[in-house]
Amino acid sequence: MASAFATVAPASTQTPLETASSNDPRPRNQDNRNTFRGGRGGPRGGASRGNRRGGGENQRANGRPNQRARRRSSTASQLAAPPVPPPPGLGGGGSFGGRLTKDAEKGEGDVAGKQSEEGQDAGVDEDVEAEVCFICASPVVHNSVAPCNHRTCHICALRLRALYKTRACAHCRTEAKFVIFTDDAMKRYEDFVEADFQETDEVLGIKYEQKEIHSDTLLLLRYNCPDETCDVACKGWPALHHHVRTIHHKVMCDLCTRNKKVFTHEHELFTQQELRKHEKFGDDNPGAVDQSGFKGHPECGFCRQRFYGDDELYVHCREKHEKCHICDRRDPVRQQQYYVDYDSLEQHFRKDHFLCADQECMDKKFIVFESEMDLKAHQLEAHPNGLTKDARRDARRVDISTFDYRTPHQDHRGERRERDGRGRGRGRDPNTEALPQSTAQPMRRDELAYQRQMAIQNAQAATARTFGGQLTSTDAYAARPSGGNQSTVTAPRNNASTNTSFPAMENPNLNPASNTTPASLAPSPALTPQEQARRLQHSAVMDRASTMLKHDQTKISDFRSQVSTYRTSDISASQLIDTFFSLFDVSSANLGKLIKELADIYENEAKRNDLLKAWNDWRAINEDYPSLPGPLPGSSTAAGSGGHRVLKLKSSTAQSSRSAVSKQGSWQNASNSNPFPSMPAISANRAGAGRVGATPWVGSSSSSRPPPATSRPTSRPPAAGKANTSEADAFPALPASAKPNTMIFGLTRGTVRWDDGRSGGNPVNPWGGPNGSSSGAATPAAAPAAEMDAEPEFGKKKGNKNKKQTLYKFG
Amino acid sequence: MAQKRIVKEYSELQKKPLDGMRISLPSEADMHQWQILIDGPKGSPYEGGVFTLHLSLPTEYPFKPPTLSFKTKIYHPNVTNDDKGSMCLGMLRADEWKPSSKIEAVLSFAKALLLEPQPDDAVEGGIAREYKENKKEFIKNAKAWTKQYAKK
Repeated sequence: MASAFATVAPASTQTPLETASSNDPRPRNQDNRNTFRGGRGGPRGGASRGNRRGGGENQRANGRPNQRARRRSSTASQLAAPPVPPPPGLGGGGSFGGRLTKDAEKGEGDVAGKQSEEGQDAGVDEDVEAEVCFICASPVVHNSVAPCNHRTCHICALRLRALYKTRACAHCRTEAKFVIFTDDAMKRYEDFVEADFQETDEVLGIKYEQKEIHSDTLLLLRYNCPDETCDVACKGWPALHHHVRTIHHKVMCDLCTRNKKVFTHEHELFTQQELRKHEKFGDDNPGAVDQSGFKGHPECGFCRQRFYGDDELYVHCREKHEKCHICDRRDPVRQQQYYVDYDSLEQHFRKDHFLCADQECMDKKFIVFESEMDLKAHQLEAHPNGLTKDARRDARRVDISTFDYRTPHQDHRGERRERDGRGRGRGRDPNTEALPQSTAQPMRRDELAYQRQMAIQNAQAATARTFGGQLTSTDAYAARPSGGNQSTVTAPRNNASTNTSFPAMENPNLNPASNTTPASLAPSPALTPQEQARRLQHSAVMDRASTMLKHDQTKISDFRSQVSTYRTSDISASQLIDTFFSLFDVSSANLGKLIKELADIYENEAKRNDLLKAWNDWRAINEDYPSLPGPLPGSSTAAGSGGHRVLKLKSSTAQSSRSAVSKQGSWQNASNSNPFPSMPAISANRAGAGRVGATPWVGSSSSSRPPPATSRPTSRPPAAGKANTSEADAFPALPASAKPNTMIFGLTRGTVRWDDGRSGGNPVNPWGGPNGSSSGAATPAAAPAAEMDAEPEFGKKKGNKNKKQTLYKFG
Repeated sequence: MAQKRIVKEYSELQKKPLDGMRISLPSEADMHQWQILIDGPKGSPYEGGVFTLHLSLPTEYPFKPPTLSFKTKIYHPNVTNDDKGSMCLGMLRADEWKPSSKIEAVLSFAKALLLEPQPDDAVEGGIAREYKENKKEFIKNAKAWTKQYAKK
């Protein structure tokens, strides 16, 4: 056996040559195997046979490859740095010999096969070759056979079918209504008969030869918790988000969970801080072995909204914002530039192109021309009677406004002017030239005359150029549809903030209310940096809120009172969110930002979690997540029995080097030597010295908390019945102090009954760190709302606190 | 999932390099970005030049296709003549990509394209037209660019 493998490895380098030929959809027998199957033989053969015998062998059959997978992952990480040792397990050539071996082995019978397997496992280390899936390069646990007789591991097949929703063969793209999941590494598709199948999944189009494969597959499709040591499966995304937040105190990236095509347990868990980094910069983590190549979710510069990827951002920009077709045609190479809306684009048209000033055309929109000649032609054709007097007057007025008003997104003007600057009347309606001079035309008469002359001279050339430009640009453009990268939107955000439909977050002079120091709070003279920071947060929240409320004083005070009612537990978090919805007339994304900021400033852990939870529930109910096609609710009770297997499965599909240890290490690494200069505060303050904005947990450690205003329910309210059983199972395992943080919530708003009686025993806040007592006296429970009104007035600060303070004073 | 497959392909290519190509990682920690130096194939107007290519493997590789771009300016109908230098390869299109396609095949294909441009599949229409209608001129231009930008 061992010698057979020794020959396998080097031979496998031929594989690539065969790859090209694998494009051939013809089912081929021998070729087929040579191409896709790795060192056939002992280990796998043995394992699968073991599996088929069922019962006690299963564990073994499942366990083995996983051990290998783990071993391999360590190899993989070693491989990352050249010089590179020969890769283990290239699924490739040499399988012919392997097959012979297997045939021989068949003769010897199963026992021999298994013995050889054991010998193999005992004697050899990571060079041991199990067969490796051609697609994912991981050891094959179960085989998937398509009608074209191409094989992959069952995980890849499932990935394609369940997540990518394609039934195409990974090798030849042949569509297959059904594939077979089997442990038989050799049997051809057509040799299976209906009786061979224990289970059939019509939805996914999978026939299972073994019940075990079926259950293994179902395990993968559950809403498994991504935590590697956790075997909880939830009923759906909301429950999983809740589980992750309460049990592991982590979050998952919303964009990833909605868009990323990975199994649920392959998602990543983040702290808030990590999540921010993930969104902004991606998981790029220099020096770490767990690079994913992900560079962050791009953001729309107008809406400040992030999208999963460039493609999604592109779609958004195409739908929500405007592009100048003339500029694009002229210079397809240049970066994509968008205008926030048609008004903004129209300004650009007026300024840089030749917009027909006729009211009818203005209403139609996009009646704009690249050259004066084209415009004139249009006017002759469409408005034979010439422009009305009104239109002419309009045109003149427009000129004035465009001359005086220059927005940054029109910066490229100069460059363009150079390119075709042949002295044509820039962005000026030709008709206005005939009018008497006005202040709108800052040109002397001789200049005007010269321009007019040039315009006539260039008239012919202009059309010719236009035509040519069209030809080249359209091809080239089509080839680069997703040219959008992070800088896709080049228009600066100032532009967005002038538009009232977007909240101007940086608007400095808002919120007169926050400047009034209410009597309720006597500002304590000696405030800790934590508090100062917290006050900044308060004012930030108020700023945002008042902007979103368009500075409507009654609404702002309404908002204020709602928040304080929540603080005093007169209303529940979900009620609060309900009132927010009636109060604010903004998108849920914007409201979400506000709520998250608001939650951040609650000192009371329970309050904060409550609010976030209620918000997430609301979203979970009101926004949809992609659903997994797998088994649904009800199967979660299987978590108990399947737990072990789940963990194995998880590790088998886990990305090569994402062991808990390496992850830990690499994140650690990142925080020590933070590669991103823009975030120095975070790494510097890791220790918890009062970093508030980004780290709610740390912020909460600033004072020893008085008893939480709401008591936790002592028993799960009936309304919370939706929370699944496996979660309930998981609770007892938690340390007692953590429990109070997991506030019970109903998935439907309004059904939760809060115990108004104090349930005594208020928990020790697990986050209350050693510096907890430092400012306890200065921060009563009433602080959050009260401080919202406070105007900080402190003298000296240090470090980055100082900067923040300065920023605030600006406002 | 991507990691293993990429590591595997990378080590295969290190062990058995493609003729006239040298592959390296600009950042050793990031397996998703490859740098490839291709010698202009013999008999093509690019002969004598060395072209730097950049291969970017998406997070979802091999289920999503990689992208290939020329960092060295090249006069070629299938390579965009801008700072992106995007290369048009049929097999890299999302709807034609097969998870079983390997990077090696992609690179071989790119090299083949240097030897024989496909003007019907062009991204640079002007160059394609010239290639079809006035090959002499095309060769002259391509050689000039090679000399100017892709000097060894």
